[in-house]
Amino acid sequence: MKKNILIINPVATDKWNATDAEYLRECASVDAFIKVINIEKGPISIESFYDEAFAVPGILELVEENKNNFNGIVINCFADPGVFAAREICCVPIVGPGEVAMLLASMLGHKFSIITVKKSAVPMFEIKAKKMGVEEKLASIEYINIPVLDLEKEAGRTIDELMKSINRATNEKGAEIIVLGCTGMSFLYSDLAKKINIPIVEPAAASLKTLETLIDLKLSCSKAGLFF
Amino acid sequence: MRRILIINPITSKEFDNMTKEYLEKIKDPCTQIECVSIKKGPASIETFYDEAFAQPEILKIADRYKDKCDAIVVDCFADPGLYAIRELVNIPVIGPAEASMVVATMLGHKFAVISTMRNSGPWTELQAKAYGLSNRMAAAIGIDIPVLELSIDPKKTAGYIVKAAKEIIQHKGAEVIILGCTGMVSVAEMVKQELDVPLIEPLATALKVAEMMIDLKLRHSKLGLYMAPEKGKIVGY
Repeated sequence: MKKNILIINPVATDKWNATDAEYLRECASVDAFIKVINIEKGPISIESFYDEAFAVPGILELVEENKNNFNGIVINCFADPGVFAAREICCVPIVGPGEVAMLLASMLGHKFSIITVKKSAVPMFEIKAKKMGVEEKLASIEYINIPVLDLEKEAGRTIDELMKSINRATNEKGAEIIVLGCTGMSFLYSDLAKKINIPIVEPAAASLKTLETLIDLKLSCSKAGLFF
Repeated sequence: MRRILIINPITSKEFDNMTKEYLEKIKDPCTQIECVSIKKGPASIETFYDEAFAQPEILKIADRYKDKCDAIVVDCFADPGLYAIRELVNIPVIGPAEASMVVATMLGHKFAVISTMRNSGPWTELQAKAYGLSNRMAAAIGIDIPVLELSIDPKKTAGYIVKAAKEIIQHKGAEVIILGCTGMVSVAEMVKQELDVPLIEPLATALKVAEMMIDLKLRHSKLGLYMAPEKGKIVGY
């Protein structure tokens, strides 16, 4: 089925648009058309509730502007900023990488761990797992202490720190699956997947494929309760 | 090209043609499906007793086909043998119940499952607990029509499902409805027309989730819950 998919990068910079588009087009089905755009005003990365608060209005404006031209929208950040609000103003499926990655991980084994960037994201994602109701499937949340904007610059150190976190999660915390807790880690996914033999869920690709699945199944959010 | 094996875990031929035709329409053009039914065992799965007799046959089919396919779907909402197949193979194994509950969770705060006999309510509650999503399930109930009678009077079946769904939406906070039996394919469209919330048909959902898992190159972890079984230990099968 032909699918027009909009990826909203909820950051006020276009520096990731081209690489994200290239990466996601490789994951997409042949009949999917992918467009990546970013917000004009707001944070350049989302690492706090404060950042998120300033990102959401811009996201909603983009959703409003584009909702009639696309079959589905991904809000491309693991924090899923504005996902619930976007569902309120839109009839096409809206997916968030955080939500999707945790749910897919829960199908792959008993417990998963999230490896994220900064320590502050640990309680944030714990709350997120609780809101989603999957906290019982969450083994732990680990962090590598490298800010989003430095992940690529320090790719070598990022991989080393990720490996340390993954080992901690699997050896000490009972994790059977690893969820990368930042969509900015997608460029590392293939290197990482070669190094370890357990499932790694990369949230950007996972959310794109899940959105395609929802579009194919003609499913979208319910308006009978939470999403007014 | 993705190759997906659909295991039909019942001996009744009732759904064979319908299932194949239905899935051929839903699958991606780059997917090949093969449907295989168990030869010995229950005509339908409605009790734990039925499920117990289906599982060895399901596992034998999975073993026979595991190197010839990229993913396996077990075509029954009880997800019979799901965990055991995952122990045996190294490709994604998808159960319609688990896949439907996961997808439903993305579409609204709470989902409800409407299934066949009265025991399917508590049974589905146990499934939701195992899958870690029980707090997202508003209710699970049966409409008291056995699996093999669902298609005798499709209008009546659809009517019962719609009535139950509307009640659960109104009184139990359900925002998404899941059909709790893969034998309900024949009435899914009728039910969908009558509801203004998303309706999840579990067989199509399981197939699409299987395609997605293949595309994402994901498979089940063997680090904890799913340990490779010692096959030599099984005698007489």
